[in-house]
Amino acid sequence: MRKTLAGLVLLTCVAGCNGDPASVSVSQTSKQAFLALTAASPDLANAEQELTRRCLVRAGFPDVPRSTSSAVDTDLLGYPARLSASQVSVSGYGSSIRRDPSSSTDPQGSYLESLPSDRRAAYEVASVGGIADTSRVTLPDGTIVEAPKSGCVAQARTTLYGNVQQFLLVAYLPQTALKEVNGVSDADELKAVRSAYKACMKERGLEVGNWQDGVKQAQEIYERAPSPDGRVSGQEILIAVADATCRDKTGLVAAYDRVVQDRAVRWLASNETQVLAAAEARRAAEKRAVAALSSGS
Amino acid sequence: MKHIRKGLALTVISIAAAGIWQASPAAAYVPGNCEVNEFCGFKDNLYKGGFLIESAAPAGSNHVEIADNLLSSGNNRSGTNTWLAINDHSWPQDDETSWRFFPNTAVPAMTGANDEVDWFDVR
Repeated sequence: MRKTLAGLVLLTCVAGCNGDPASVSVSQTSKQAFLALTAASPDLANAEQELTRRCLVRAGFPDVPRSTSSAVDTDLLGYPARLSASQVSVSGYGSSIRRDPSSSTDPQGSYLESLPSDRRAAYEVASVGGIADTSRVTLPDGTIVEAPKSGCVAQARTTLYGNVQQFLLVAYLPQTALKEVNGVSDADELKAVRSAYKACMKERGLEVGNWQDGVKQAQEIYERAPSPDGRVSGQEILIAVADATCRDKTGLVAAYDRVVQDRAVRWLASNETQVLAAAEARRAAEKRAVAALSSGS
Repeated sequence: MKHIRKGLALTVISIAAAGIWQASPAAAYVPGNCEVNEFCGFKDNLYKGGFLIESAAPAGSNHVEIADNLLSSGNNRSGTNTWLAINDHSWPQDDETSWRFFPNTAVPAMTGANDEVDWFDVR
């Protein structure tokens, strides 16, 4: 939910904003590749967890719990800035509001704590390898990322991506793009539209500091009185409709898009080769993930 | 004779090495000596400068605090959870996810998001 407005704009722009900067040329293929790379993939996350679990079972740890986390949060499209007033009048902010209670327990942690120290040490070795041997990748902005090169986690990633370095590139490359658009919301060009948005919300009886405050207020309302079946309250719908109406009326999102667009396209232009390679690696991994999940062994 | 000595020496080294190997089943991959199932954040690159955070907070946790604007490297040893590193802005900017630490990955040098993380969400 948080921050993803800039990420959302980046993605939307690379998908087809009008008026790409004349000095920068980015092919439609590259734009689509980047979109594919940044979308969430529950299959990939689940397959990695499941292949790791099966490997650990073969290594003598038959009771390893199945993952209950929300898988890997790689979907940069989370902020509801694009929801229309008619959409939010029915379902409020939808999945942008966390409606499930926070976990109080961690199945994997509980499992590990149940193991005697020697078994726990053996589990670690089986899981992430027996020596300090890692695969490393340096991302375009200089950030270095690494992961175990041996053990069940590495085996699972190798099965899906071909090797651990490919996994690292697919997982982490999109994040360097976010850096390019983070922080542009205070651009001078947006000053007028920000003021207009705040005034619009105030007319509807809502005090907001910025355009994410509607979501934050709705989240707080839900947490104060959570519905057992996740039902959306009338108060949330009131806020969400005012938010969507004011965004539309003031042209806030469109203005934001224009400011972000130049940076987004330039990033993609300068990283086109890596984006295409990573997207191809991810497409292949997704096919393997589906096969692995359906094989059941 | 020289060859025999050399061979013997190699054998001794090999046996010793094998002994060390077998005696150290716990010599797993651990950048920064981070415990299994925990997330660890460090003040400096290469997991140095001391722990800023060492936590096994479960998925769904919000606002897991860390000293502001100091994080330079981190190791996510959770097998399942992604740690979202948040840069907390005040008006007019939005809070932003500066970085995601995926399960069983580590970042020895956070060039892009260095020294700007204020807290974490766990998913």
